Amino acid sequence: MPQTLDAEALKKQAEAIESLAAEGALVAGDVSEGDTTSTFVRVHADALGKNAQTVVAVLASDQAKPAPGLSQAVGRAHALARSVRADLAELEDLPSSEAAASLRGRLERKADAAKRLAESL
Amino acid sequence: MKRIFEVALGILAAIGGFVDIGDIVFNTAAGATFGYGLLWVVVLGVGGIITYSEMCGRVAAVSKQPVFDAVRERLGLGTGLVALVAAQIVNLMTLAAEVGGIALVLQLLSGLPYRALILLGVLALAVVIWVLPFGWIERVFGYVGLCLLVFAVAAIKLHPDWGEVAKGFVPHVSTESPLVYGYFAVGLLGAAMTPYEVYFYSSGAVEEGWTPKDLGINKANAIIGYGLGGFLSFALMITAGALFLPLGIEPELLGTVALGAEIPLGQIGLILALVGTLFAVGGAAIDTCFSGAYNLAQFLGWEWGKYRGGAGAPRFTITWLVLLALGFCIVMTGIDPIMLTEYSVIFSVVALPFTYIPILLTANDKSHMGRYANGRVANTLGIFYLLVILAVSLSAIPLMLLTNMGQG
Repeated sequence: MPQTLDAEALKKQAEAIESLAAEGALVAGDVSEGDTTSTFVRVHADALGKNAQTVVAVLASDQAKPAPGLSQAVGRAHALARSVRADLAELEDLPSSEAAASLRGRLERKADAAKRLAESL
Repeated sequence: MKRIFEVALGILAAIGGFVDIGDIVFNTAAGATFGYGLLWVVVLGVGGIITYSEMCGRVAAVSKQPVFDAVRERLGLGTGLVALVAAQIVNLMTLAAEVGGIALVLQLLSGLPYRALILLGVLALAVVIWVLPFGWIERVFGYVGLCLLVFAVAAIKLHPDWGEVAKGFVPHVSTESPLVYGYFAVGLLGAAMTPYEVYFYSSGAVEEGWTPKDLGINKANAIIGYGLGGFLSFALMITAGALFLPLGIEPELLGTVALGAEIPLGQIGLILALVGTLFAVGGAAIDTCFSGAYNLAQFLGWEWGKYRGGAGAPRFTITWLVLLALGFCIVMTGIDPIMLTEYSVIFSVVALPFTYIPILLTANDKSHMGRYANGRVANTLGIFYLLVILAVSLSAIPLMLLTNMGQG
């Protein structure tokens, strides 16, 4: 049974996406600079990815019924969450320094996008 | 020189006992949510644990009476039983959370499967408790737990706004989200004054054979040891406030806490943070395990004490083994240790008065304590903190429900 997702609930999900993306960007930054351990990156990125999956599930169309006027915002949040989850999966696979630097940039941009979305609600 | 050495060891033990998974989680989450705005609550909590640890250490040194002897004597059998059940439930929740925390840190270090590491962690704890003498348990976990000082270096390297940090030590209330702020304030007080700390502290004083001659050591241990524990709490909160808050990061994982040391200090910061957390949480697991066994044995009048060995105190030994097994079973259900920690801290706040009222009454009883009974300063502080404890114990559950565990 889909749950109605109001602006407050959507804002919390957007903030969760921002948090996961920003933290992923920090980890990716350390990978690119060789300032971490591969075990930590693998385990922590996996845990962050599971949290991202939870957000994706909450925002999925069969789970969330957007309150009036929020359909587009929910769709944007869902797409962002899926994209962050995919980036975290890439991070878990221990990318090269160059790939990690690029991943960091992507995750930072997604954190900014999630922040803007949260602020617009 | 021997005295100085004893104080130093006591200080290390106090650090190991003070900073557990509850402190690590709550201080980091508070810093990431309110920046430095809750530093004053840590000061308040550290003052409370110093006040009551000094009292219960003094009672143990003078009368050889640990906390749950006092609870039964002062509260009577009926209310004492309620206190015992409440204390044991909170203890078990805390123990399970610490065991889960050990497995999480081991996983971040080794990459091995979480459930296998729960089993490994519990077996390692059982062996350590069985084999090592009491003093060595304190020293090993206290010394290595000092690796957590890496967060103090991390906090400095992150260049926080020290003016804002200083403002955080001035008591105030957030007007932005007062309920969430209140929830974190209650949680920080609960984490600082967790009852198992005084159960362990007073029983440990009896285990180590303290006499009135050791009252100076008791005072130094309580003030400097818990003061240093509070210093580590400041470091965690400042690190989170400087690093996570500006980026909108909501720390929900132990790995996030370690990241606070990795970002400014690199790989060495990460390793020190993880090893320090492992030993602080491991030390706390042993403290809670013993505390549960101490409480039951003292309440029922059994022989107790690690120094007596398994054969000298069989029911005490069986109790800590059973508690360890129960903690293992709880974590193996798959419950999130971080969430369990938050529940255990909030429920421990509710149980605080049952622990601290009997300590205050006993330490203030001149017929019991003679010339070592509370003076004016100890009584004033004791009553002040009792009022604080009563206020937070009444507000803990409502705040938890109203804020959805601090989520707003």
